[in-house]
Amino acid sequence: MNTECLREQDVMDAVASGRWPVRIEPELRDHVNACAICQDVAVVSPVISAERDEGWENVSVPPSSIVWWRAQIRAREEAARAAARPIAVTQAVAVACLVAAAVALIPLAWPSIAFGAGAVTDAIEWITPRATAVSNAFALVTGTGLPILPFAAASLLLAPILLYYALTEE
Amino acid sequence: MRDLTLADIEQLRARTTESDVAFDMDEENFRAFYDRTARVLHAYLARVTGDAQLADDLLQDTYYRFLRARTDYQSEAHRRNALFHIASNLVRDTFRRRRTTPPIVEATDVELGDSGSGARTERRTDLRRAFARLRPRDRELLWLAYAQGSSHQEIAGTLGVKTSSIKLLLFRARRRLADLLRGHRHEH
Repeated sequence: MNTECLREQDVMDAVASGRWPVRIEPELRDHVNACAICQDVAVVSPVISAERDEGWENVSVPPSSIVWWRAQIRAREEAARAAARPIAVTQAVAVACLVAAAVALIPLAWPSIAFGAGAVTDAIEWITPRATAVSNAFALVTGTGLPILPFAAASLLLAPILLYYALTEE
Repeated sequence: MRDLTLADIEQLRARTTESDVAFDMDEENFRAFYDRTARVLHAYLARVTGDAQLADDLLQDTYYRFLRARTDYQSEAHRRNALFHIASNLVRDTFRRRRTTPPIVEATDVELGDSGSGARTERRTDLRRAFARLRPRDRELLWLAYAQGSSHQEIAGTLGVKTSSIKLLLFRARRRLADLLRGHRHEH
């Protein structure tokens, strides 16, 4: 398939010089009438050229100074983001190391953990009857039951969460 | 793109003078290059995307990426080709992200700027309708070849296509547009 004609440029030159379609050489006109490729060029080229010429008159682009400033600001923001990236990576690595170290230390620290857990259990066993006695005494005085144990447990659970939110808000 | 107020400009100036980010091109050279190329580039982007607003955004983005490219340009033509290459890639990325072809809705005269009436307006409307039905790659090829008069080699460099492929691609794009334009003329 023939996709190119050697006379295409002649047609484009005729369009560019304003000779097309009235003042072109008869020989070129005869060629265009016989050549499908040049016929397409003769249809397309004048329309696009006119669109270009007329369109450019009305194009409004921002001043170069604005484009320069915006580029500067964007570059600075990207530089700041790029600078912050290693910090985030370092923090992530530090957390990962901490977790790994904790996991590795569990077998070594297991006797201490077990001892601690036993102490906590003893403390709970010591507190529970006393707290129940206080609750019962309160119920005798006021005629209503005070759920001290659930209240104390809920406080212990919620306190760290509330503390976390209070600190992150700041 | 939002219009800038004087206060915005003052703020921008204050922020940029704090410490200028180093681009390979200095401001004076950039402004001269921009003044030589911005209107041509905007026309290209507006015709290829069919959306003047999008063309505004892509214009800014193109110059930013151009400034960040840090390429050693051998000549003005090389620099210009690199600019259009960036713009073409941005157009392609934009449509890929949106997962749509460029708008088939024709851009209005108000959007793209109309300066004529009667036959001229009709001819421009015909072209816009026809362009709207072409693929982005065809629009790029035709605009570069017939509006900017780029050589096959320049078009290949801009679009990232082999030079040997341009003949065939251009032939097909031209044939499609010519058929569409003839169709519109027959409708009239």
